[in-house]
Amino acid sequence: MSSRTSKVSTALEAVVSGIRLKHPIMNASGILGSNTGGILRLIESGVSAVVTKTLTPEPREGYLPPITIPLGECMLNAVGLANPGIDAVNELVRTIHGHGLPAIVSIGGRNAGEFVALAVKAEEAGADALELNMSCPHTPGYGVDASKTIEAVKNIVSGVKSVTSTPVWVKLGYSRLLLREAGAALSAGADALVLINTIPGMVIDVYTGNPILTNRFGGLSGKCIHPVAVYSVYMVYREYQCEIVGVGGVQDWRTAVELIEAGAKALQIATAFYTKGYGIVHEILAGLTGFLEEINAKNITELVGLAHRK
Amino acid sequence: MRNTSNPNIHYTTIQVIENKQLSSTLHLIRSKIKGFFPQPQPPQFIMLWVPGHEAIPMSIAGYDDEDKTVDIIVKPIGPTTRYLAAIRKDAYLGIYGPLGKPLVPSGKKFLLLAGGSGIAPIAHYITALRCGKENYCRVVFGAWTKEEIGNAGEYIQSIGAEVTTVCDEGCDYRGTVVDVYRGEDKEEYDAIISSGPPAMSREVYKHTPREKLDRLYIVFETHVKCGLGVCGSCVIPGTSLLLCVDGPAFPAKQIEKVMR
Ligand SMILES: Cc1cc2nc3c(=O)[nH]c(=O)nc-3n(C[C@H](O)[C@H](O)[C@H](O)COP(=O)(O)OP(=O)(O)OC[C@H]3O[C@@H](n4cnc5c(N)ncnc54)[C@H](O)[C@@H]3O)c2cc1C
Ligand SMILES: Cc1cc2nc3c(=O)[nH]c(=O)nc-3n(C[C@H](O)[C@H](O)[C@H](O)COP(=O)(O)O)c2cc1C
Ligand code: FES
Repeated sequence: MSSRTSKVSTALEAVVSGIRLKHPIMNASGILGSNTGGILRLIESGVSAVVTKTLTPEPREGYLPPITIPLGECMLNAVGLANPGIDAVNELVRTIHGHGLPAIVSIGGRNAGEFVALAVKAEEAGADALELNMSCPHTPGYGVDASKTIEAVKNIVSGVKSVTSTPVWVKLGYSRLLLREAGAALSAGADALVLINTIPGMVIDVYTGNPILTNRFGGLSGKCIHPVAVYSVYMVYREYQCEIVGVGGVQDWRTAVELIEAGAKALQIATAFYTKGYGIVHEILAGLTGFLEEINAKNITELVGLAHRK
Repeated sequence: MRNTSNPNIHYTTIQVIENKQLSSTLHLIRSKIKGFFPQPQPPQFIMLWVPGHEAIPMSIAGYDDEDKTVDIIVKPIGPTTRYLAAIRKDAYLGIYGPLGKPLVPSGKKFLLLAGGSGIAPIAHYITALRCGKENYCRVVFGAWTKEEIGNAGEYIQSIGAEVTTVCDEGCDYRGTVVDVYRGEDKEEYDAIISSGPPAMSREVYKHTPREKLDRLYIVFETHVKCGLGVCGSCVIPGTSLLLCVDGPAFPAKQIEKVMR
């Protein structure tokens, strides 16, 4: 373990749904968390918990490449939920726990019944929290499709809550229904919300006249969506003062602090691992520590929801 | 023009200028870059999108900053590569890159071992290592048959390296790249680069004296899907290395696990 990790001070500790994190930075689901090698890479990067790739009932190949398009400090992707299937959960959790970190298992079903079955397997594997993916924008049947109505959101969350005592995080994307979905998830028992997933987008090659992604459209992530993430976290926190994990365009200490001040207790990163490299976690932690010192704050929790002060 | 965004990876359309058959199985495709593409270094690669087909990883075999062209060398083995091998002038393709990490060893004398389509990154190395200019490079290029070698040897010679071809019959040497390598005096070279099927590189590794292993570099292949370090499909088995970020070439010592 690198000496930089061990130097992380208690000032950066975060707690989400009772899970104690040595600092607020996790990876977001979909970045490397689908096999042992990838998980090891995330652990080496210094994350405080590992979030697995969204696991579905059966293994999925996902779409054929191109599955990603680089867009400067942003990215468009339609991976199509490629994952080894829920039966890989034991090995993934074992690897994460083997390194002493909490395992957040992301699951994605097509209906409440599938979510419930996935949740049971993830809990049996020893997951520290379940992250329900109700927001993948590009895979028919899953994500936004599975949670099309407020009723569906409620059913899935209450179904999962009824079979598990593991904390349940619900991951939502930005849409005009966000506040209603958040309310439904919370009233059905969600312990925390993870905001936000990618936002639908398309890139067309002008010479060929074709959308580039095999799926034609995908989800936009990275710096481009950061203000949307800040807005989403802010609005949901204002309405419900609930526990929130902020995701979307975190790529330096400043973008991290913005989400925290909007109301997030912890953060997840996907695209910046690509745009900034695997040193990103340490860079942000050093930046956060420097910022706390600069403004004379004792710990990061003092900043949570700061933007709501009147 | 320097682009400061990090990483320096861009999408651009390219348009085929020429598709030249080098041998029965190797096609050199030169294309005009229609947008911005940063200067690549070997053994960097691209994701090459063939509209209507897939995007596949392809080594950059050559790059001309003035003419704004990029070369690839394709060996048809499946639907997308077969389509590419037959592609006509003026067709549009999409690329993003450069992907992976530049790995250009220092020195004056280089031994470059290439098997099959492994010749593609070697072609790029020949220009980057300034072979035939300040530096000396010897390429041992092998394939199963003389037809698969075709004119590829001449092509490699024309860009600055001294070439020995190896195949079952009718080449400079009869046998495999590894047979030639075993007879080489490894001490003569400042660096050795192996680019070919995993079985070839494993044999090269095996026949490299221990004290020379830190001058051996291996261009590896795994299954690349995103090329950006996010999907995890290119993990080198038994490690936390990502071929698309940390590779595709590795100092032999870094991947000893998979070479044994
Ligand atoms: C970094 C890198 C550089 C490469 N450079 C070259 C090159 O310069 N010239 C060249 O001819 N070939 C190169 N290849 C191999 C090339 O990508 C595959 O031949 C191509 O993807 C096959 O596609 P297909 O549709 O024609 O065949 P398919 O029928 O899809 O596949 C045929 C074979 O290729 C393998 N393959 C398929 N897709 C991939 C993939 N995405 N990544 C790795 N292997 C794959 C399959 O496992 C299978 O064995 C490179 C591969 C990598 C990883
Ligand atoms: C390549 C890629 C794959 C993703 N896969 C998943 C996934 O399987 N499940 C999920 O909930 N979110 C997935 N996401 C969304 C991210 O977890 C995250 O919500 C989003 O990318 C915004 O964060 P960022 O700006 O830091 O990338 C994926 C994102 C990317 C870029
Ligand atoms: S190909 Fe996706 S991580 Fe390397």
